[in-house]
Amino acid sequence: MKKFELNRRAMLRGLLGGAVVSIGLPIFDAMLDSTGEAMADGTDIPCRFGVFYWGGGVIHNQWVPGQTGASWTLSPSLEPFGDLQPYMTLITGTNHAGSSPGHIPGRGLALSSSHDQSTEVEGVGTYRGQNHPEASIDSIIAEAWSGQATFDHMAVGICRKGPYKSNSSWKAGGSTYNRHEPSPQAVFDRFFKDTTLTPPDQPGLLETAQALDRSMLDAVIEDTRQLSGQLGYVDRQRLEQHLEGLRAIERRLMERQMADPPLACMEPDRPMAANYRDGTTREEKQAKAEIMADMVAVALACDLVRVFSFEWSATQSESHYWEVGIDQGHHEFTHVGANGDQAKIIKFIMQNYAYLARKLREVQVGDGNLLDHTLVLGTSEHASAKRHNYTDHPYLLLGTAGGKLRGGIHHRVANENNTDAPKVLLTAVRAVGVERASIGAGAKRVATETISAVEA
Amino acid sequence: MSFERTVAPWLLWCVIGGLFTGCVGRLDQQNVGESTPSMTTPGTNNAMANSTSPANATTPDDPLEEFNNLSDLTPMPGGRQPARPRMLRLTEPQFTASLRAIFGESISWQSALEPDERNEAFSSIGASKVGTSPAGVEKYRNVSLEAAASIMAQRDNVEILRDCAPVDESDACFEGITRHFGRLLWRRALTEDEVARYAGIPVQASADLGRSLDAEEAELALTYILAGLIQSPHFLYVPMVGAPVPNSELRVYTDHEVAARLALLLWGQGPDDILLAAAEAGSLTSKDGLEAQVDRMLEDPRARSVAGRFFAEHWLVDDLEFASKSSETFEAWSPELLERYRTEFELVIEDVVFERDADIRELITGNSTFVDAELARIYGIEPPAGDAWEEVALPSERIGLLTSGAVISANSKATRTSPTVRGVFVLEHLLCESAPPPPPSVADDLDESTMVDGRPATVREQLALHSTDPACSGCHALFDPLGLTMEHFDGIGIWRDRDRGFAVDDNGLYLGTEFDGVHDLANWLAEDDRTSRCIAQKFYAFANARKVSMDEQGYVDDIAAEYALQDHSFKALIKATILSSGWRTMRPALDEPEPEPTPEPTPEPEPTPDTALFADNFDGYEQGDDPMGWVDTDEQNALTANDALFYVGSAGGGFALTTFSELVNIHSHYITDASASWTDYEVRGRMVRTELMGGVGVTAFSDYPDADHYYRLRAYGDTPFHIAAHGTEMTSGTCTSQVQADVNVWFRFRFQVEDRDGETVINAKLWPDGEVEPEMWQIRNCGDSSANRRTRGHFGVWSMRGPNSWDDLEVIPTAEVSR
Repeated sequence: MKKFELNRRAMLRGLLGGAVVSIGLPIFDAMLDSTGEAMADGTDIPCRFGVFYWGGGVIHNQWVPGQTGASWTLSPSLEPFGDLQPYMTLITGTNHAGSSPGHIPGRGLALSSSHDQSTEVEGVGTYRGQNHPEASIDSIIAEAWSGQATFDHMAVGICRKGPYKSNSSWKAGGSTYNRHEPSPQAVFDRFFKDTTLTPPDQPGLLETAQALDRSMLDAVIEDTRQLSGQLGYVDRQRLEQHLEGLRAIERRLMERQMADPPLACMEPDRPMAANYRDGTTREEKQAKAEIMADMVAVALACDLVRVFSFEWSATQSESHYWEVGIDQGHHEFTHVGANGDQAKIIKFIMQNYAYLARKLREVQVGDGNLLDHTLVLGTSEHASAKRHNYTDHPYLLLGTAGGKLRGGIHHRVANENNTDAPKVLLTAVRAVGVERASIGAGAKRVATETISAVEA
Repeated sequence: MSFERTVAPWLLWCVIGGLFTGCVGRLDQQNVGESTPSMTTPGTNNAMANSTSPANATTPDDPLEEFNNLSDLTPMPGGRQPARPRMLRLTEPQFTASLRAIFGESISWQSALEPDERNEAFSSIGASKVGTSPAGVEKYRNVSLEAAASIMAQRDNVEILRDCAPVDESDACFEGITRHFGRLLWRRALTEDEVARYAGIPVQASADLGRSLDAEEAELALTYILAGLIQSPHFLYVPMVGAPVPNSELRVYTDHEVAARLALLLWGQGPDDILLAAAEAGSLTSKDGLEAQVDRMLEDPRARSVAGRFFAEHWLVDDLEFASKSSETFEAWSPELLERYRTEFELVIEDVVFERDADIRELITGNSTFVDAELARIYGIEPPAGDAWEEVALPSERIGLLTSGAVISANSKATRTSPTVRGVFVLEHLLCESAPPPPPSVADDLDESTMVDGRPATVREQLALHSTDPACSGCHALFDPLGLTMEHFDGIGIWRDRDRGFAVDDNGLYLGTEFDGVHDLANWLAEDDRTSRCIAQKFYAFANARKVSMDEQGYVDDIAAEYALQDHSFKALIKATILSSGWRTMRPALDEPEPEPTPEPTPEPEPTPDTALFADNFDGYEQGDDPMGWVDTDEQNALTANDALFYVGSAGGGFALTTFSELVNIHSHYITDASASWTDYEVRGRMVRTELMGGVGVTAFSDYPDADHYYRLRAYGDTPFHIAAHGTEMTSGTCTSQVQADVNVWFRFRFQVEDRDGETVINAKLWPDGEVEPEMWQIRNCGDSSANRRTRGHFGVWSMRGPNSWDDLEVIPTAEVSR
């Protein structure tokens, strides 16, 4: 068995003094049993889960392959996946129950099968309302796995051209978002660099700084705890969220005090400061996406985090796809552009999805690779963004979730009037081992069954 | 939630085929008829609740006198009942400005905070809703540490920091620093416990290390004390707990809460020392004391940004940041032009609000603006010399900010104008009326390749063709003609005489009022009371950081009247809002989740027997669905099918069978293989109409769509509910009820039709939904013994000039029900 290599320099934990500390443990040969298929302590190799989200839907005649089952030819939009086909679970033909036509309800349906229920006057708010009562699928899984890795969740964002900011990952209730970090350097600093402030010219004060840091955190936690008790229900929930974040920092400060772990983990270089022209009409999407994908792969490999949300572009993104010759905001283009030109955009997005999947496949885990133990759920807020609908909603899963999915399948639901799309979400949640009786909220939006045809 | 309480009297229906989310009235209304669950009063031991400040000593004996009127403190549903408080999270600009106001303009940090969330167009409302994710908490930590390091690097600029040179962990100046900056950061004095907690950070670290700190380490401790104070939820959030009012369920915002809200609203940062001192003296819970501070703060240059911030969000100009404009279509578009447009917008507002304190409606009808040379060129005005911005007269084709580059560009598409977007902007943002969303699965774009008379169609013409779809035309007819008045301005606000080579027609219309171009519209808007009230309503939402509930409409009315009396001065609006009990008082926060709005308790209806021929409450459908088995037929009792007439819409607390059609004498019948032979049955359910000139009814023993024959229970115009037959006639009995069909009131009904020994006999009764069913049949033994009498057939619904709705429909054999 060979060690995984990401063309990165290896670095032992702590070698950079105070600058590099919080590196998790990779799953390496020594931790696996002799078969290479399970951990040495007999448990399964843990699953990883991610979302790959893009705004703007698909063009169906370019998206849906002509054949179904295990033997099918990649459709034009999916060509970039090429040899990844055995890892693909493409589910087409599923619908979400009809709804207000907005993009924001769309993201709620696509990722949680829920959004603001209409009431009379609020019905208007439904269309613009921003809250989804249920957590996004990645948050559901992150909560189930909370505390198992150094970080519970990783959110990275590529395209930044508005109008809506990062919003495709949220906690239950819909008012707390896991914002997608648009800066590769900030992602690096969060996951691979110690954030304790240490005076660069006073390295001798590291120990003192760490003690002060803990002491400061204690004070802030105590404040938050006390304040929380003085508030009404809704605000108390908000502060509890805040407290959860403080406790996660506390946990990591404790881990930092532990002795060096037995094994080293690969650590990527800090990305160069680069201008990706975020928010302009000439965003450097691909360059940024590749660096982000590299870091996601390392963070998963090192077990720094097990759940991620990769927001390629936001709901109703107006990113300009100059790379394929389109100089107009994507959302507006979905309404006026020719299908063929729109399909070029989708294919370009899929190239970047495929890059991420390949990065995961490059990481060796036991006899297989990380993609064998990962499930990435790819989707968008709409099926056809032009029509603002959820009919034949795009769901493209990558990875086989530790053998729970067959892979290499194009499953199409034939009945045109189905409301089976929530079943895709439940299939994904259960595939990575999170037991849930159902997913979704509202009439025709609750799934209690999976799509067994794609399960192993 | 009952239908009538929810929508009346703000109801403004328009005709829409596809969807019943409703062309309802004002947007910012919610929480109607909220029930009152058990509540406790959190925060009674709260440091912020004035218990430690001398405020109580100076609070007037009768706090009620201090409010607008006594009834303010008696909850009055539907009028003047303040909302429950929501804790604010500082927005990113407020966070930054607060720190710089305290520590100096030059402090800085590299990391970024989580982006703010806007809600209902306002970031302040987002700030009262949003929670902070673990990643966001880390960002606060990083920024706090970086800011603290920056403060320490510049400590010589701040006297109290410069003078603090601690030698070990227990140096006395830790406490002084904590008290001083704690008060400024947290917008109140710290309690002794809190002082000990933060001043004690170095002591605890020393205990942790098992040794004393030296001077170098003690100095480092200052960084952590400051970073801790900044990271504390007492800085990042503004908790709202309030203080009790004797003999009232309501609470008042405490002096310190008032100070924080006031400073964040007017200055976009925390309170200064004077305002904090006023809070500490307890003078902000008194009307005079509050007014004095508002006057002082409005005269301060720091207040100049408040109107700009408000209008930029309210008029969607903030969204320009995300505007997507085709560089192919609009060669003049550039980030620099966008910046100019914003500058113009802000300069005009500053001029109207602060330089001249003029009538705020001048923003709509003003005839001057500010330009630099480049903007002058875009507007076709003589450019000012050099780089200066100068006030100039607007060219005659423009008026106010309505035709400014900023507002026009924000309300256009990437490649063209959009009368729809502009009309909705006028409707929702200037009049506070609301437009419904488009029906689902409708491609919502104009076809730009449309030809008319062999030439490319203008936007007006494309829109007219597009709007022929009855699912769309009703609502589009409401707002498109408002936006069409601005057709002289292209997608980036440049004036044009022709659209695709064809002369621009800028006539418009709104509910019968015609406009000859945008000047007409602007002047009409300025004169219409709704416009001035709408500004008050939006500012009330902005200032309170939440949607305005129906229970607060009375406050908005008072504020709107007050500032109108003062020549529509925006400063007067600000003051009236802040002095309103709607801003100064609160209902206590709930200690448990807000209950879902529940329908008013209704008497248990008779259970549906298993033998029901039909039963549907339509809640199994989705909005916009065409329900199964229902056949819609065209106007004037035509027998031709027209599937676009009846849909499932949201009404009456759930879904209902609905029509938005204003056509007369349209029907929908439930038709199965067997229903033609149904006989001796009762139709029951509830129905509602929304127009006095409209009518609503239910049919039985119907031959539709084969023949126009049936019995019908209906009301229209000012008739009471009565029986009317088609293809036959009633010959005996009491066929008219005394029940007047009030509009927007759901009526329950039971409608029995039986074939008895040569006569068809009808009994029926109606009563307002939620009330107890009357014992007696109001329509009794209404019989038909004519030759043409009907003895069996389908049931259905009848509509005249909708919108109308039917719900909870059941058909039950009369043998199974009570008589």
